[in-house]
Amino acid sequence: MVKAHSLLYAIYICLIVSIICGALLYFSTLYSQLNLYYNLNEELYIQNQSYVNFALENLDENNIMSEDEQTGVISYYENKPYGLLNLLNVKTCTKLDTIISVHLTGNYTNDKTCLFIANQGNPFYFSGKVKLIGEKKLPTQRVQEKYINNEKNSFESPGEIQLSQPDLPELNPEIKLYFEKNTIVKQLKDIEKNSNSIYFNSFKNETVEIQLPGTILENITIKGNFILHAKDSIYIKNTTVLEDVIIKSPKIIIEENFKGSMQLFATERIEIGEEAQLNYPSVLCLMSKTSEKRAIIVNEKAKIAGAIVLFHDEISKQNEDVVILKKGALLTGEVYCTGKLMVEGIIHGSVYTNNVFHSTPVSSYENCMVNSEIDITKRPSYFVSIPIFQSKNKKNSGIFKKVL
Amino acid sequence: MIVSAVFTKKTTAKFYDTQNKMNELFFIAQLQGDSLIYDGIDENLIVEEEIINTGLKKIKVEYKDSTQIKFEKSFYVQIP
Repeated sequence: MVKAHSLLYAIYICLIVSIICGALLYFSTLYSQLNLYYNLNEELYIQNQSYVNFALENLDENNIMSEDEQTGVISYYENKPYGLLNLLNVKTCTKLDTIISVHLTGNYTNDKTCLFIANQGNPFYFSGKVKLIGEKKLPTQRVQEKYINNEKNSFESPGEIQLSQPDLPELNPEIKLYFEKNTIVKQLKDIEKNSNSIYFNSFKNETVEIQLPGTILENITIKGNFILHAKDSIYIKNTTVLEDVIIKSPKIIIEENFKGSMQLFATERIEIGEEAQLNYPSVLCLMSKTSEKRAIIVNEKAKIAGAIVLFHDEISKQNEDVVILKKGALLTGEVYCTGKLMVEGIIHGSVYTNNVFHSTPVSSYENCMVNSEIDITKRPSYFVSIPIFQSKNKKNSGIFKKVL
Repeated sequence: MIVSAVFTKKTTAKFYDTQNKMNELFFIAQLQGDSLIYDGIDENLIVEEEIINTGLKKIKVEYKDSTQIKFEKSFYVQIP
């Protein structure tokens, strides 16, 4: 005989079993949904990276949209200038999710020229220990010696020497236009800091232009998509952290031992302090507008990875503007100078200049290089160059870095 | 119902394994531009390369096996 409450027990047991089964089913469904979510994300990341590759080879066209027929993933890209660099923004989306990646891009170069001095009929001298490794384009094929400081001369110059053209290669016209852009500028106090007291603006947003309140920048961290303006001059102390920002001011002075990566645009003077380090990709760009002497000075043991560009408003005009790399300073990248260049330091890359000179406290020597080293072979093969020359072919682009 | 919910075609271990192999190909192709790299990875994988321009190629990967799971994927890789 079955007891009356046995039915109740049976119902309880069935209920418990069904709850357990339901929970199992529910967890399995959640697990599979999570897997599908990860799967979709992985697919989106790969399609995004794949489309970055596509975009790098088609930068002259914008907003090309592509749809993957198998997965239904849609990708499109936008390319816009950011200082002398390009900003590549690639979006990949499905109905459920979107992934955006932003990269700073430039061009790979196979330029083997270590030194180009425009042919204006001047002779070319060297003195002391000079190394010019790579192809050279000089005003004369014969390099003459000069004796300065009573030092023994040595000239190491593997690579062909050709006669140079009277003019430097044409500079990218967009560089000049960049100096003329006027946009709406905010005050620093109007910008919100994030939780770590850092001023940060993502490259996914529009560029924020800030008017700096004073002439000294110290104890502040600014990262990302910012253009900082200063009216007359700006002195950047080594307590400042600047990453990927652009600075525009007539005079820009960087204190010794400063570390950061940025693009500097000036019209009068740029000076980099001793042992300062401007990381890849950094740019020092000076456009001279008057007949007064303008200068870019890189002091002892400073390190720069990127490019130094000095040009006159009228690009073809030769002038007295100078670029000076002092003893122990190291530049990895390119130098373009429509004035005169003095190299006492080391350049791993290419130099394009109208003239060279050497100056001592007592005298100045024109068309002369003293104790200089320019070596194109030491520029790393993976080095992506800043696009400073006019080139219709925007292919063979490369990525400087991925930015947030 | 449990089996149909949990072990669908897209949630099997086999699916993830194949998908991972195909994704791995993308990363390998980015590192090494040589088509020989695909040899010997899996005989069910069919890889086709199409040169788009001097600096870009499109790689189509197809996977077929006896379980009738069929994958097709294409991606762009820069030519070094």
